[in-house]
Order: sequence, then C-alpha cells, then structure tokens
Amino acid sequence: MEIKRLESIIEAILFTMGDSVEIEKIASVIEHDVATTRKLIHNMMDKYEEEDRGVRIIELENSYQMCTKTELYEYLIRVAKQPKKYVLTDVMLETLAIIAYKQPVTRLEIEKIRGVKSDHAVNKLIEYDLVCEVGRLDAPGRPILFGTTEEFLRRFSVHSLDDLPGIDEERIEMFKEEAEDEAQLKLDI
Amino acid sequence: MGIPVKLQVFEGPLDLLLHLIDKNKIDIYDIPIVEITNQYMEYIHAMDREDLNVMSEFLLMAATLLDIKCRMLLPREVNEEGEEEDPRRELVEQLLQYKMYKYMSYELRDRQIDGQRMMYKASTIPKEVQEYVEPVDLDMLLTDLSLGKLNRIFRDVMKRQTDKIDPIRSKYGKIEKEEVTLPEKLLYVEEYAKVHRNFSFRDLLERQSSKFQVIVTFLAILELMKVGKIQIYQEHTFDDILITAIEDSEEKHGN
Repeated sequence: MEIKRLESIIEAILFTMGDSVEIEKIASVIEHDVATTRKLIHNMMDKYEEEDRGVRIIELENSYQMCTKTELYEYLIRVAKQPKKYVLTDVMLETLAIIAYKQPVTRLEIEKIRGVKSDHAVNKLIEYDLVCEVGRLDAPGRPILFGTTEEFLRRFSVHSLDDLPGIDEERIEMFKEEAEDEAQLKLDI
Repeated sequence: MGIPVKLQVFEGPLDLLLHLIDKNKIDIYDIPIVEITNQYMEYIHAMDREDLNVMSEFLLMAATLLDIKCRMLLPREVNEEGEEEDPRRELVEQLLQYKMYKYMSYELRDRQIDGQRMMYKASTIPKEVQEYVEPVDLDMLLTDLSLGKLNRIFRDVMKRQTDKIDPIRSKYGKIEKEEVTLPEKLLYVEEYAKVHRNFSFRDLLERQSSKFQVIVTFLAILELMKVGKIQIYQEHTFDDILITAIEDSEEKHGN
C-alpha cells in the first residue's frame, strides 16, 4: 500500500478513537511493523505542523492521540465548552514533581523529602488522575508505589517521561558550585 | 521580633527553613545554626496552635535544629575516615533535595499551561460498531466434534434416564408434567456455565430430571454455542465432551 493510503488510515483511526491509541494497535491494523508505523506517524506529525493544520498528533509514551493546536484555544472555547480544569496548588505540584522524577516512589519517600505528611496531596493527585498506583514495594507492609499517568503527560504536554524538563544548565552550575563549596565547609557559629 | 507571616505560606518545616535561608541570604552549605534556630523558634512561637499535626512536624524540625546546635558546640565527632563530621550535613542534604524538587515543581507548573489549552475529542464510535461481535465460526467451535458423537452422547443419556425409572412406582398415577421453556433453560445453563466455567456435557445432562428437560437443555447448549457464550471440545475421541464458558471480552472503552 502506498504511504498516502497508510497515512489516511492512521488519521482515520486516531480521529475515530479520540482516546490515545497504542502504536502496536495501529501497526497491526495497517499491517506494518512498529518501527515503520512510528516513522509514518512522525512524518504525519511534521506534515500537520508544516501545513499549519488545526489538529496535531501528540505522542504519549507508546501511544498517539489527536488533539487541537494550543494557539486555537481562544477560538475553540467559543464553540466548545471545556469543563473547568482543576487547579493544582503548590503542595500538589511539589508532590507531583517528586512522584514524576522519582517514580516509582512510596508515600514514605515523598514525605521524607517534603518533611511533611503528604496523604492529602497524593490522594488529590490520584483523584485528578495524574498519579496512580504502579505496584507494591517488596518490603514489610508492601507499601504502595506511585507513578504518573498518561493524563499527566497530556496535561503537562510531555511526550514521555524521558522528556520531562531537566534542570537548566544555569541551575546545574549553581548546584555544582554549591557542592564545591561544601568541600570546604566554613564553620562559624 | 515577631515574623508577621501566615503559616499557610509554608508547606512544612523544610519550606520554612529554605525561606529563612533565602531571606538571610545564607549559603545553604554554611548555615549559621544559632541564628537560623532562633528565627525558626520565633516563627514557631508566632504560629497558630490549631493544627497539632502540622505543629508536630515543625516542632520535630525545631528539635533537630537544637540538636545540631548542641553538636556544633561540642568537639566534632570523627568518622571512619578520620574526617570531622559536620552535624549540619544531613540537614543540608535534605534541604538541597527539597530545593531541587521545589524547583522542578515550578517547571511543571509552567508547563501545564500548554497542556490545558489542547482539546481532545471524546471517543465517538457508533454504538453498533462498538457492540459488533465477530460472527462465531461454528467449525471452530465444534472443532473435531461430529454430529454423530453428539447424537451418541445424547442417546446414552436418554437411555440412562429410562434406566432410572423405577418400574413399580412409575405405574402410580401421573405426575403433573413440569413446564420448562427454552429461555428458562438458557438462563439456567448460562448460570451453570458461569459457576462451573469448565464442565462436562454429560454431567449437565444427567442432572436433568426428565427426557423433556434433557432435550431443552440440549437445545440451550446448541443455542449458547451459536451466540458464542460457550465453547465445546473433546480431548480424545469417545471422551466426554467438555464445555467451557467464554468470557465476555468487553473492551475497555474510556469515556
């Protein structure tokens, strides 16, 4: 089958499903291997971008989903009602950052870093579908391990966990300098 | 000097410490413990004593600070490598880690603006497409089962049914014939399949109390096979036929 045809099939699948679709599923439908399918989709993503289309395809770990361009939001809310999105407090963001960067992580580890009980924040994050249970730690009491969800990727426009914003160069330099100073601790009480 | 800040500003003792360190423009690796502890204590005194839970965490940190303060005054402990231990080290590491995650949380906060401005389409697959079930392939269902075999089992059971009849008592007056309809039997077999998952065709038929019951049960089995709720197979020729309930393969449809 020619590329054009394959692309139109993929486009139709993503449109129909609305939700994110796993790449393996798409590959099996168009009867090509995953690598080829991925190439096809990324090629489509570029095309959508070049032609400045209203929709785009986003990547979420191992799935793809269709959504609108962010800059069209102003126009879209005139026709489409968007349910009010929850607001994340600083406490929740702090907790979420720890879970995102340290996952899988237990409640206890989160609390150790924050120095405060974090039950409420974790529960809220679960309620907002940004965090979920990803397993149990093989330790006494088998504590729950938390990780982030696909909704988290969508909400923060992250393609995959490897794509999470790192600490910028400036920061790293600063931390480094601080660490160097540490070697020569001055102790004046 | 009281610190006119509301408690809500700080997410916890570490947050407060970082605030004090920033405010006093202190090098995090060289915290003047005495000064910071004093300020920290002042803050705790100014705190609302309502929430004991929160309070206890702040007090724990206060105790830690005091402990460090004491150890700073004593001669240094020496570790295995013969180096002097800085009593503040652990606290510094904790503060640094907390600082890093706090910084990352700002990064995340800035990123979420974008994610909120995208619209997604809910899945709108027409009902009839969603509910489409692949037609059952009868050949596959019946695998190596021939009508002849079914027939033989059926006759076998029927014969045993007649053997069951007590020749003497059967001469008594007629007993009212029980009515049983196919829909009823369908439900019965379905329930039976749900409970037993895997069961023998013969067992099921032998449970039936009359010839009529057996026939209706037999029909029910054929019907359930047709709609793909059960599958039947046989390991070896002349073996009993085994029936398996097929799980409802309900696809998860996210809403």
